Amino acid sequence: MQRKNEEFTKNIKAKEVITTLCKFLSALDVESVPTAEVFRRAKFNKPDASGYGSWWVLQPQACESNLDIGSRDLLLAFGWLIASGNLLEALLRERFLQLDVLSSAAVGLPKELELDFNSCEEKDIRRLQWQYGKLKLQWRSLFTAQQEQAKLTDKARSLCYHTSSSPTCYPSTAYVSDPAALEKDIERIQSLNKILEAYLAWKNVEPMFWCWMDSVIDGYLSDGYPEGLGGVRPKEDVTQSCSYGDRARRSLKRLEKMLLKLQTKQQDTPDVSADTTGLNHRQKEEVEKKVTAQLQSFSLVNTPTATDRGFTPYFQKPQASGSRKGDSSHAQTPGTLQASSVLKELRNRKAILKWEIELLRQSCRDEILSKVNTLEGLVFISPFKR
Amino acid sequence: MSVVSVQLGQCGNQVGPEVFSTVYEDSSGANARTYKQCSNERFFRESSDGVLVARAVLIDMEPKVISKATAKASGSGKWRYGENSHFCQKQGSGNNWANGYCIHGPQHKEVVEDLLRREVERCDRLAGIFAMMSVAGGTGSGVGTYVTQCLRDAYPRSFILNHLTWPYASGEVIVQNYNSVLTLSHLYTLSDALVVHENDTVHKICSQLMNIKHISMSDLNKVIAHQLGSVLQPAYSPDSPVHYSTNPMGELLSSLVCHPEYKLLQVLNIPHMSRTSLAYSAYTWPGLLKHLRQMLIANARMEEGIDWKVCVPSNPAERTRNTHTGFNKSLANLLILRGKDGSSADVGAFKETGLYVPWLPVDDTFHTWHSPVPFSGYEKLATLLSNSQSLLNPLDSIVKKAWNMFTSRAYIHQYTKFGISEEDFLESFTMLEQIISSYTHL
Repeated sequence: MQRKNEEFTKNIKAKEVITTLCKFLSALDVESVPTAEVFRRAKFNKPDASGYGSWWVLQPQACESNLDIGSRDLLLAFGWLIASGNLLEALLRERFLQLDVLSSAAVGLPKELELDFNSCEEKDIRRLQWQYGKLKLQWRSLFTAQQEQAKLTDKARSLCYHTSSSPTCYPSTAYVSDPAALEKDIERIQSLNKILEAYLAWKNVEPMFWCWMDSVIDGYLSDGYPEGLGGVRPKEDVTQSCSYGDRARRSLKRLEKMLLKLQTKQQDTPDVSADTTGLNHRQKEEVEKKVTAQLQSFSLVNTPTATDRGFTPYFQKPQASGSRKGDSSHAQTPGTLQASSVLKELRNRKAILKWEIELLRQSCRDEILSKVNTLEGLVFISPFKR
Repeated sequence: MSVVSVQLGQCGNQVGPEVFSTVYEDSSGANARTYKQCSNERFFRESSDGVLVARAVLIDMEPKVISKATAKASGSGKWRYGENSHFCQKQGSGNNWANGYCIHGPQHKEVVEDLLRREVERCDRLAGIFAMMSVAGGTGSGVGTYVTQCLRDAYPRSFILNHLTWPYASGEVIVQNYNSVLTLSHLYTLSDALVVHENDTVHKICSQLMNIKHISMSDLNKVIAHQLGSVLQPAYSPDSPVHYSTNPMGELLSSLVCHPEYKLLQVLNIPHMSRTSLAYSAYTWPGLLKHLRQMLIANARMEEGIDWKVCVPSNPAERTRNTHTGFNKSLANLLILRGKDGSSADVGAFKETGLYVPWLPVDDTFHTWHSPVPFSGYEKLATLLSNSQSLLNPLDSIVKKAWNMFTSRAYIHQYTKFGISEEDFLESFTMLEQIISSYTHL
């Protein structure tokens, strides 16, 4: 019950957060912003005809079939879009420049300076630093002048109010001659304020939005993604879709194909190690012998024998013991083994293992010796042979 | 357009009154109405009873100097300090920068900020803040640095100019070099420019040029005030050629200290003489300017004892290795000419590219201000405010002495006990070494 409650408040929170984002988008004059509910439905990949086709997919024809694009894919794409660039800030800046009447930035976008920093020398950088410092100082001078202007305007205005009660005495001459312009400017400032407030509200809740997006991704991973791993979907399905999961599936398929190709290629090409043209007959024989020996010992050690399977010992009746010396296990009923043959086999294996261990020991010794010989000033005294 | 002065510590509160007296005497003695009006508005406000009140805030940790300053000003009958414009305590900072910066400053932050704010709000336009202090003392340097920091925080866009009185090289206080290192390194990031007056130089001016036999503190401060007044009084500038500039601090800074690595300014003044000989002296602009230029390039602090052999290296490569030639390279210079025909004086010799760093545009290296009004009884007076290598030597020697003490850990505990750690010291040393290096490789 409590858990349910928690979820409920969480959802409410998410809704508020998304609503804040929607409000901000609307303030930025983005067309047909979906409601928070559309976002929620998109999280669960619900098909929804109610209007977000137009907004979510700007160019449906870009994909082969927009039916295959889940609303969640679009939501993720949207998330990526606002996370990867400064999209919202760029939109904000654009609107700001359109509406701002107060600051000097309102004059227009500054022309981008084309500077080739690669050819910059230290003195160029110093000069730039100096010029930058000068600009800053001059900006501060202007700022002080502006402050003074505001102060004096205020003084003049209050003086006007004291001397004459006529309201026509208004400080700014530009506004006196054209009150409509003033109205217009106030409107612009108000709408700019709205945008900035919406932005501030969004910035406050933004971390929560990304938490929510995380949950969208979690949902996506838990039901969309694993399908791709199986790679069992019909081929047409894979190529037609253009969502991320399908893309992953497709690349997986491609990878598999590639692997297969590589394998067959490898089988076709003659083994490089078998290329013995450079060796003479005797060397070839030697190598072959070595390899056979290695392989033999390897197979001997590694092929599971009858002894490896577990057996329950039991005592055989005396009449059967006559054939004990006779021969091996195939004479026996399947599933039983003579103790003597087991012993024999174990002895065999013991010998092989001993031989093997001796080989390994020898190679270790050789290796140590070769390594130690490279160390100057170090005398290696080999241990007593066992 | 007004300048708010902040007098910090003993030194600041002794230099400050002299500066106000100097500008008052200068402008009231001058027979020029606009000049007087402009000067008065710059440094004073009018009280309700019509008396000029200095736009100043006085701060010290002991009452002695402040009460003397306020009493003297009121006694003059010409101007006075604001009744509630000062703050002082009973106990000084004991020549300990850390005590001033870490203890006294923060302790009285609110009161001091309130005083400053009230004074700033009395200006229609704040041209800038001019803080006067000693670089080496306790209250002036420590509290002064702290107050500068508060000012920077409260007025991030205002121009803040610090005037620093540099101690005698022979030393008055054992830890003066520590204090200087800490003050300079902190102010370098807080202030827009540091105008430096060395006590040694001022002392020489008093003895050799003014012929004063028994030089008192007041004599030294008068010379400093004279030089500062000649910079701060109204003048015509390139940005304001027909009216007295309404943005003197901004123009001063943007013609001299645009680069954040170079903020040290030195004042050179010519002529200097005693009151009595003033009447009998006649100077020409070419003569004055010739001397002043040689003072600049030969790194002479006054017009006597100039090394005339030093010249501008003709070869640009030599200009970068200036150590043995004795040539003082400049980043930027501001020449202020006060007196008759100053505007038509030939200042071409100061524009020579060889005097300056090669990376700065020629138009940015040299500026001239002028005023037809004679300054303080001097028929002609030339003042050069210079951002050059001239302060390298005194700076280097202070850092060296402080470093030697620091390596033997002498007196460090006096600072650590107030919260200045050895890392803070090291940071300050690094900062100053950087400044030295920047000026050396100008």
